[in-house]
Amino acid sequence: MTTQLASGAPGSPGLANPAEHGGGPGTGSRTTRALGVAALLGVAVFVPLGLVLSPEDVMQNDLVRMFYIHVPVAILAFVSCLVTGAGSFMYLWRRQLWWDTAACSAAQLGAVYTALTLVTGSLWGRPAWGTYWDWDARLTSTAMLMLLLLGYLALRKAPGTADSQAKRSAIVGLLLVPNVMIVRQSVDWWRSLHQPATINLLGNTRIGGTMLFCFVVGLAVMSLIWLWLLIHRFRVSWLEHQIDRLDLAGALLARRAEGQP
Amino acid sequence: MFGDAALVATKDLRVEMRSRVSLNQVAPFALLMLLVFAFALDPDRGVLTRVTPGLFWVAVLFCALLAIERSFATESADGSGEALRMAGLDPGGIFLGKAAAVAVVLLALELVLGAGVAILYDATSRADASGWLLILATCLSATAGIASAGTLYGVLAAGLRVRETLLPLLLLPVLTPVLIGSTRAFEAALSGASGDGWPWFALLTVFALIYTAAGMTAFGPLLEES
Amino acid sequence: MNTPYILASWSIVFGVLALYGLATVLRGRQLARRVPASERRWVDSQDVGGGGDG
Repeated sequence: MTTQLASGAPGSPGLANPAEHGGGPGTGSRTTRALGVAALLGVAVFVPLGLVLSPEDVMQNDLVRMFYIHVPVAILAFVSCLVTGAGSFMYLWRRQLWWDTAACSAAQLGAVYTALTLVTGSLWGRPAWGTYWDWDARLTSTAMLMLLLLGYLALRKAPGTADSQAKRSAIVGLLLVPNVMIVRQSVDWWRSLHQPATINLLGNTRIGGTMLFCFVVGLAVMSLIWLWLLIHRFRVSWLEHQIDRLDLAGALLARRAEGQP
Repeated sequence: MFGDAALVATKDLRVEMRSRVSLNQVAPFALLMLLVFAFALDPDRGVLTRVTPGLFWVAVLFCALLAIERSFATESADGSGEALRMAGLDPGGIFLGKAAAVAVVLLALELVLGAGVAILYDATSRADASGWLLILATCLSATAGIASAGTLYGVLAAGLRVRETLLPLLLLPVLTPVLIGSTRAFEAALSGASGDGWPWFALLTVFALIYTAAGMTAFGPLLEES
Repeated sequence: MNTPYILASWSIVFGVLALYGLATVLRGRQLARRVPASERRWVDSQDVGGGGDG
């Protein structure tokens, strides 16, 4: 519903131009601009540091460069899910749309980051274990997390009043993290019947010195990007809500005007 | 609360008895699936016998989707959902009643499917007495888990125009642990090593308890608006 | 010999995030045209020239 309303926006008549409304052109603010600049500078440091300057690992050779990108992405995917769960919980408790919007934005980012986790994980697995996919507990539960997030987002897209939609979504969002944990546990028991331990990509690598530094820089930079995306995404969802509200108010006014001769 | 649950469950089951949709459509669909699996997997090589536990539970899951869909279609079709809400019944009781009705329908379908795999796939020849006990226990607790999680997600999707497509997407990932646990337990029971299956029965029971608790808590706020 | 995999995963991550960010910002601009600045609480007073609470 929301998306359809909004996608008709460009050039549609009757809409005020930006100059009339004033304000920045979109979802940016001083905070996000500062964040964005910091993130871009960080990327400029992180990419050469991770790809060229960091030394090769004794066990992993140059595959350690996968670690710098894959692990922060995976951590942020999980953080997104935690934020979704927390936002859902707070919505059910406080019933403020703000929390629902936060949960929704974080779930969207979560889906993107989980997909990236799966892709980079496969690209790491291919040279490291010789296969893109393995039915290991961690991989399988990440894939299930992806599907749970897609289900949550599909539920969000389903039409309904804002309030009932938020309530449904909050319950599914709240169950997201427990679901992943139950799935993870059951897959873990299932697979451990066949193979004694889960495959560990890093083996018995010891992380220290330059590698640790690279990893920390990477985590910081990726977190900045994540935060920037989250704020922008949150504001887009907020705008969608406002537009729904304004459209509804406008429609009511028009209806009333029709009624009065 | 349990009185309310019994009321709702008898009401749902009576509707089910009268309409006979489960009997006339879902049960034949379940048997059809057994034949379809046989066409897809060569029946002569013993593949079917080996993968019976998995096929059985996949068939149960698909039947469960249909049963849950029906359980809420009857509510929204004639506005009896409104009536339930107005009747002042305890929401937790309504949840338990609806889940119990779904569970009874599912158990009946499992009986049909069980007879089907026993005859068509020759799956039960190695099961002993303790194996049968494990099969019975697994069926009960897996069905409780499927019914409670299914009722919770069923009411979430109920009333939406897209519910037929949304429900499987929401529910099947959630039911993965049930599929894993019940399949492993059946494998243990059917291969005559039922001792290996009891931990999986424990997992299924925990799953059922978690979702019954979650459903009873969440049903109140959900019913208010749907 | 592992370089293609490494380069692929780095470029996919940064590429996807850049595209997603771009899409979000563009969509935000598109939507912001239809919402007055007073409803966008993040708009800086500096940008608006009075009004807005940052």
